[in-house]
Amino acid sequence: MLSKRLFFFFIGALLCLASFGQHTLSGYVTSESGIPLESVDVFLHETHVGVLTDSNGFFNITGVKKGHYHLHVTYAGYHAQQRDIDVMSSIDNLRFGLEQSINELHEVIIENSLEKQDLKNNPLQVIHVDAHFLKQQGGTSLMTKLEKIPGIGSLNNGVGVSKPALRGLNGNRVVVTTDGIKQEGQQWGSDHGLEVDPNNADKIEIIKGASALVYGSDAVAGVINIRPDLPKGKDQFSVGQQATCNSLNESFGSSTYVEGNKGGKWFKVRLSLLRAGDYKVPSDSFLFQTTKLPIYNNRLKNTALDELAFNAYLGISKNWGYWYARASYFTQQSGFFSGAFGIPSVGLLQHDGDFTNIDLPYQEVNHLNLSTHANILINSNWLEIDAGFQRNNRGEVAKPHSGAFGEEATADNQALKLQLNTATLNARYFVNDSNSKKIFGLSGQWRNNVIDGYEFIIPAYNTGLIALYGLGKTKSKNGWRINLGGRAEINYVSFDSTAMPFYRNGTLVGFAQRNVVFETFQPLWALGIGLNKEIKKGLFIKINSAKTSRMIQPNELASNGLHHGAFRFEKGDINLKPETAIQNDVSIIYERKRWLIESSIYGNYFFNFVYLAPSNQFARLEIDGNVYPYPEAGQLYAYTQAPARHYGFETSIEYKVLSELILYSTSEYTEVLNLERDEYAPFIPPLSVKTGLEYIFKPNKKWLDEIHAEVNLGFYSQQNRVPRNDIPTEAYSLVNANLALYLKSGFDINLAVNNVLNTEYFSNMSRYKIIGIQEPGRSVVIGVSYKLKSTPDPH
Amino acid sequence: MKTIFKMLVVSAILWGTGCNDDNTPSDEDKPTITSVNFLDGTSIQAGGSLNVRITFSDNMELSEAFVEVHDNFEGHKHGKANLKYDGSQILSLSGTSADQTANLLVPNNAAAGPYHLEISVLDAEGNRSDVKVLDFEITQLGQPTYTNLVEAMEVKAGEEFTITFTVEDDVDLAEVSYKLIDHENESAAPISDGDIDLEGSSDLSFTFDQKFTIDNSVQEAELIISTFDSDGNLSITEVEIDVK
Repeated sequence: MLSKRLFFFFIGALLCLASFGQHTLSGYVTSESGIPLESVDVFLHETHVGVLTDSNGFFNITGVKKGHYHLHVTYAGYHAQQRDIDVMSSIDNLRFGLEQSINELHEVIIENSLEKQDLKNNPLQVIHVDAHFLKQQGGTSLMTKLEKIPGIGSLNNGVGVSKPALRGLNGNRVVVTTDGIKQEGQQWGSDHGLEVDPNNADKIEIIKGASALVYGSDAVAGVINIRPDLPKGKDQFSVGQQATCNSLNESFGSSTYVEGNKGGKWFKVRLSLLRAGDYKVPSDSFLFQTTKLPIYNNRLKNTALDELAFNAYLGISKNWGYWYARASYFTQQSGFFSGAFGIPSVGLLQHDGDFTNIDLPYQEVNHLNLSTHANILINSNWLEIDAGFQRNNRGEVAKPHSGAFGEEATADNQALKLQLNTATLNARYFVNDSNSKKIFGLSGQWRNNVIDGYEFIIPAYNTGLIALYGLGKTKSKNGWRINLGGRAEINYVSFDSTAMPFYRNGTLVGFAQRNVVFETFQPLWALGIGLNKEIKKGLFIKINSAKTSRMIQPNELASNGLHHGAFRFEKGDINLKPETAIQNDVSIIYERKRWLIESSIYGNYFFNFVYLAPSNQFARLEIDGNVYPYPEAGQLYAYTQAPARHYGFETSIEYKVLSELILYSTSEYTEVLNLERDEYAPFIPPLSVKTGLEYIFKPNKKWLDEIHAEVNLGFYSQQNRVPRNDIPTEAYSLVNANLALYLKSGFDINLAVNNVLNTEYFSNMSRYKIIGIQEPGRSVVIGVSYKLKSTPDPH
Repeated sequence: MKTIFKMLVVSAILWGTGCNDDNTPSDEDKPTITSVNFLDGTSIQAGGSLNVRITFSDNMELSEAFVEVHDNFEGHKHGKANLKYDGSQILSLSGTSADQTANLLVPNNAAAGPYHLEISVLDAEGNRSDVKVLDFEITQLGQPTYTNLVEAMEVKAGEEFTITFTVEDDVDLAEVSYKLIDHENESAAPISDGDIDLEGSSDLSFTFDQKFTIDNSVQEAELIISTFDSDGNLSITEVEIDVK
């Protein structure tokens, strides 16, 4: 309670500091040719206030205080515009001429980015997708829905669990934020997905490349910023409901939200549920090592899952800025495929008569998030503060798969129990003057991890982080926009030693020390420079170069156990040093008439890349100087450091054949090579080329607003660049198709068919490849959503 | 501008070093298990020892071999007296070829039943051989025994037939399960299967008497019978069925 009072006191004090003048911003929005556009969304980012233009294209925002603002103008079918405005007094002559866009994906404005830069002014490649895009794609998880975009992939463990991978890197090298706060949930682990409600992800921004300056040292490969659409603008009240079915796992998902806004006070509540059965695969058997094992009814036994997610927001938008609080809870229970936990056997795989039950072994994951967000005007400048607490629980419930645990498990079968508590504070202060912009930031994080259960993978630990950064933007005489930034941080990591009992054939052998006591304070710094310029009309070039250092995480320092999701025994090393890299990116964007071409190449050199390398030892534990082989674990994988290079490219070409028809082709390639051992990193996507046709038609019908239809043919080459002992994958082609109907009554209908040709293939991005499980075959996804909105108040 | 230029130059140089293929590709040849002195299907009496002589070879340098025994019971049963045996041993190796003997002591309380012996080997670079899997059986004097069982028979497609036998145990029978499968398509769902739970009473003997029908899509079938006693011992037997 006290902290809440302090918070309001703080806001009050800042309000007093803010200047008192009230100004008006008004103007007109037209098409490029001068035709007035009605119902265009004009949004003042800083105060979270929006208005719609009238039939003359006129808009008027009142009660604006002196300060620096970003005005966003968005309208379907047109390129969004963002304008920096210094408000000293009322401005009544704002003019926006909107250009028609080639593709919907490029209309949207960036308002997620913590740096507040639009796509073309960011020296890195930034991709933005919205809820429409996600609903059109037929994937089973948030990450698989994003796979159409080059450079974005997911590391999968069956169909319900997928982890983000950017440019082939994953885990500790990708930052995911929700509402500006880094999501923390054992992200190194491969047996569980993102603990995020995909229905609440209305806006997703993906920054590809070194983003350590603002997002922290983990943002080596990039950042995925996830935000919901929050009520804004005029008084309104709306209710929305959506339902989705997927034939792949006979899933049914439902999501309902209610939101309202009155006099700048607003709320949003969303509840989502998902129930999925065992998923289907084209093959009726799989080959584990040399044994052929059955897949009864072509369904992977015990891969069913149940999910529930709740999100609630409460906020106020005023002329001094905005404030909102969020409470969210996500919980998932999912079975582990019976053939993927310990050594598979026919007996374990036999159908139990129910495709929807979740039997042993299974996992329970839940994530609680409480946060508060504010943007406050202080003497014409803005201070943004995100503060939050997260509690992430992950437990595995399983009978011991081998005799190493004796009778330990019989009580509650709790094999693993990890609880991670995270407190975060981010503050950013934006200073603007006529020819430069500066951002000063402070980031703090405290994590506490607690462990329980009869198995061991990582120790209980505490980590701390305090970082200060500055980012300056200026424009050179010859038109280059220059971004220069630096970050200094201090990281703290500590853990106690852990001893766990070890049994053989029912007898306690002794207590094995699984990790040693460790404590470190590690200062790190990062430096980055970015350049971008519109070389000639429609042609942009972006160059970014950074020196980054990633803090080594507890799992890399002290893992020492069997990681079921990865099918291997993993061992950390407390002597690992922070991972230092030089990261370079060059991107070109060309957008003229019917063409939109985007291309990025990147080359990163890691002085000491950390990865799990296959060692020349078998998994073992040491007790009183004696070595005991760890049962059913096989080869030991050890976290190792070596110089490495990471390079690749992404290209995207779009050509508007007709006003309604777009032909596109994207391609991507990435490679991570340990230069010391000439060994490739695992789970790297192969070279792929995806070509598609997109048809967007607005018929002049009373009931139908828009039709969107798309066919996509993806060619994936063979992947021979795999680490030793790993299995190369063959080339394959996939066809995906989707159709969306947007009705005037507020209904959206989505139909997607994945893997239309029912191709049987192995993916190098799947954990199940190791146990010989193919990827899913054809599936049909049907979604219906409905939005009921009260008529906006004309005043 | 100069800073970025310098950074680009530095990274280009580092890049160059990275791209140089002066370091010869590391050894990616797998080590191999050349010979195993162990007969597939061997029986070992609980309390005895498993001595397996194995020869390994590698093109460069051997590192370690792993010999592991685990059950192949196809189901989970906790015995009162006996436990499913779980044994393993790491053998240290060196040189390009090595000849070693793994000695695994099978305890007196090892549950009778089918087991797998798995052998794999690593070289000094971490290359792993394919896993060699051998079947063997652990026997106990007190495990269930089958009597009056016809091991091979001929039946007519679509016609009902009966299989009957007696299974006996010295202490107590716990469960008899059966599975009738198509011999040509063993990974398909069984033609017929079931469990007979004998827990709760003390059964020294049980007479199995079950009727089956096989249609003409199957030429050769197999009835697999598994019996657990309350000590945790498993006895498996098979009936070969020729369908005419």
